[in-house]
Amino acid sequence: MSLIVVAKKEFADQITSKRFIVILALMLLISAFSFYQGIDGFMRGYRGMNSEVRLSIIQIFGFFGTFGITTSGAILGLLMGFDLITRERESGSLKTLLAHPVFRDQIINGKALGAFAAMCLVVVLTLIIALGILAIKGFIPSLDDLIAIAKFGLVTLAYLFTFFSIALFTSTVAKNSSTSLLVAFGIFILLSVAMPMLGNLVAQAVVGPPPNIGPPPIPHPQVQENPDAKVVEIEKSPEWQEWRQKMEEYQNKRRAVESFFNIISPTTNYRTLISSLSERPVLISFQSKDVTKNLVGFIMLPVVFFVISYIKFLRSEII
Amino acid sequence: MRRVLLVIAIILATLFIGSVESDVRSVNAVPGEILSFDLKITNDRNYDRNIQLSYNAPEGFLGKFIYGGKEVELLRLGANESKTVQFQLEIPLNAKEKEYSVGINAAGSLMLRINVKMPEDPLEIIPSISGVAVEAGDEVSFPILIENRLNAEYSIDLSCLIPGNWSYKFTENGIEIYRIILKPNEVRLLTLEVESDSSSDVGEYIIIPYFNKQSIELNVKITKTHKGEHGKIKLKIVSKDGKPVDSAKINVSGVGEFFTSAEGEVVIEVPLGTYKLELTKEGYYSKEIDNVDVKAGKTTDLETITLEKRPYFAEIAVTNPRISFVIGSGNPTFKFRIENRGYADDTYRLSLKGLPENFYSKFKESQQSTEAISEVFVKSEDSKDIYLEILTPPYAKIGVYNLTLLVEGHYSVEKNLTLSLKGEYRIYFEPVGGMYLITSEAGKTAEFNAILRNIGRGVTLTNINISATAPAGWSVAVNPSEIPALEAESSLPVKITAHVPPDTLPSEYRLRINIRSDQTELQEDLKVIVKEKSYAGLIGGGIIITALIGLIIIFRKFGRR
Repeated sequence: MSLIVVAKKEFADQITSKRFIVILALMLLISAFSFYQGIDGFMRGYRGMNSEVRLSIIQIFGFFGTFGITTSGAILGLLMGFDLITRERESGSLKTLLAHPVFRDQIINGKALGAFAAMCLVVVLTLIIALGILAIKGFIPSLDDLIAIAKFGLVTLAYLFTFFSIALFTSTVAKNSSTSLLVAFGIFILLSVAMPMLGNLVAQAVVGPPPNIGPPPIPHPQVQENPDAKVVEIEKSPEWQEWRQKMEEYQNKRRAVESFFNIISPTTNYRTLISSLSERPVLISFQSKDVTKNLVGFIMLPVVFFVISYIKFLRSEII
Repeated sequence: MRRVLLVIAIILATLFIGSVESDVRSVNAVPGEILSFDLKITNDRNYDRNIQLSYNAPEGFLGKFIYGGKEVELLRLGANESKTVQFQLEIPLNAKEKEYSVGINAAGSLMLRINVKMPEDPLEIIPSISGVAVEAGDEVSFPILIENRLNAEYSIDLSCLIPGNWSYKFTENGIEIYRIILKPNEVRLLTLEVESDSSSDVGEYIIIPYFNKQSIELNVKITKTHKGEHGKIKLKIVSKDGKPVDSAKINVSGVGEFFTSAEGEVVIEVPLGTYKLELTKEGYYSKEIDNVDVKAGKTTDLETITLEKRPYFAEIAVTNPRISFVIGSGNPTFKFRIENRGYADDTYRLSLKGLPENFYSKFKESQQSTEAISEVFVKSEDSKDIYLEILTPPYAKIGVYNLTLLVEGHYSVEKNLTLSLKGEYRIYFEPVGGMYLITSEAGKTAEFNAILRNIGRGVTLTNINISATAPAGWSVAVNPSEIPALEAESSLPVKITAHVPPDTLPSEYRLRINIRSDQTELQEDLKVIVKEKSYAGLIGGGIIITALIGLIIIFRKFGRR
């Protein structure tokens, strides 16, 4: 029962804080903007493609998720959790709280639950407003679209919770809120930006430079009547096949190394997962079809941070 | 009776005048020979007297008395005087071989006996060559020396016995002869030219030339035969000015037609025989050559033959006698050249026959020229290029038009021209009022009313099939979708109905209309803008407002302290 009380208290604190409201408003604005952009891009792609191909509107959400949520959602998650413990500790309210018949695990679980509920509010609100915008623009989603949107919401929620758990971890281990915020942002940059770059460097170091062969020369087309036939003829040539095989081998090796680092990056995992929801890859052209690794990495990271935070909080000395 | 009278006359003369005596009383002679007798005439009387000289000879025998180198008829003799007078008697050429009596009356009478008889061999015939070896078909010459052994002139008929299909001729100093007259003891050199038959088999052949009844035997040995082989006729045709006449036609009777080369020469191979040749060439008077003998394996060279040019003659050379042309892409133009091959200048009128109705023609001196000409002057041996532009009406019927170009001067020429007009296959599809874009809603139907028009020229489009490619889930109906035929310049209404599926997102959609016929095809794009449903905005607005109200409620509920 104490867990619910703490969660409610935390939920109320979160949603009534000016920081949350500002960030929520900012996020809704960014989301609305990126959603409109997504609709335009979707329509352009829709018109540009063969009219016999039926596209799903979840691709709009893919655009929205990539450009609207990856940054603002991450910041929201971090801001919601970076002072969750440090603030209580700094204000001395933690001691007061512990003076009540409530366990430490109930406190941290309740706070996490409250924050998670606030995040759910953000995600649900964002999706409902997105559906409203879609309806205004004339897009009436089908049942399949709604299921895909629900999946998108869950993945987005998990993404926000990942950064919340990072912030919770820093809040647990840091002595004050400012340190916690700095560390949290440091980890965010490390995981979102540095890890993919590092993966790229390591892959280059491990696999080496690309094979020092250029594509076979394309003969100058003397007859322009049927250039398609010329292309097919070139692609069938043994030189071209050999070049393509070697380049594919090189890219596969490189991708294998890079994917190891990308699994640790929640941003990359999030993009990969929402891209996999849509029928056609729009933004990440060379994604791996098998997203199991990304899903595991995506779930494992918040769990690990939350568990560490949980243990650290239970064992910490409350002064 | 005549002999009896002659004897009586002689007796009377002997009795009353004197005497005439000769040492020769009987001689042999040949026809044409002139015999000479010395007659001793004696006056038996002892006084002077005139002695009449006369003779009595058969018809044709001509006699005369010569005394002192002069012909005399009357001789004066002194008393008992004797004089010797020469009596010449010419035996006629047609005298028969027999004994003739000639009576001489001069103071007395004398009977001479003339035994006319031709010798066995009046001629001595000596051939220089008596045997020659040649190929069949070759000509052989035998020089033959003949001498007249007679004291008389001797006429000789020349003939020769040769094998079949051979030919011969006697020549003397290059002139063919068939009869000669030899003076007494005259020697002449004749040539017997014998041409063998080229089909003669290998072997020895006898040639027997006859000189009246006398003959000799000559031999010709054929060493190689041309039996079964074809012969050749060779000739060269030139004009009067010596220029070779090319492409002249040589019609060899029973064989065929042949043409001369650019040098005017021709060699025609034909079976052996005798042919008639007809030489013709436009612009020249034709010529016939009869009895051209062709021998197997041999070339009969007719050498150079001259054809005489006509005063007026023209040739028309059309550069493009057949034109295939697409209606409406300009005007087809024929180009031709008038060549005046006659030796006189000429003016030619230009016209065209066979032009269909609404077609017009224009003769021009250059392709770019806008001036039309109807006559053209061309000097002898000169030429002029002319362009014939056909003005076709825009909607002419396709087909093949046979035209005749007439160039009329002193000499007129016609040329056949063929104008093949082809159609242009074009089809046009347009929505009525230019409505390429129609606005509709999901679940509703978009309807296009269009016109399909055959805007080609002169052709009917057949088996027209109209289909539409639409986005997935759309159903499109085209009415009519099959059109058997659509004539040029005709049109047909076409209705395209597209059913927009209910779940279609609002956007702009493309309907691709594919029109295919046997002749051509066309693609046109129509657009359907699917707008959001009218209530979609309300729903969207309601959702957003509901979400915001929910947020406010949550704020109010949890934000209360």
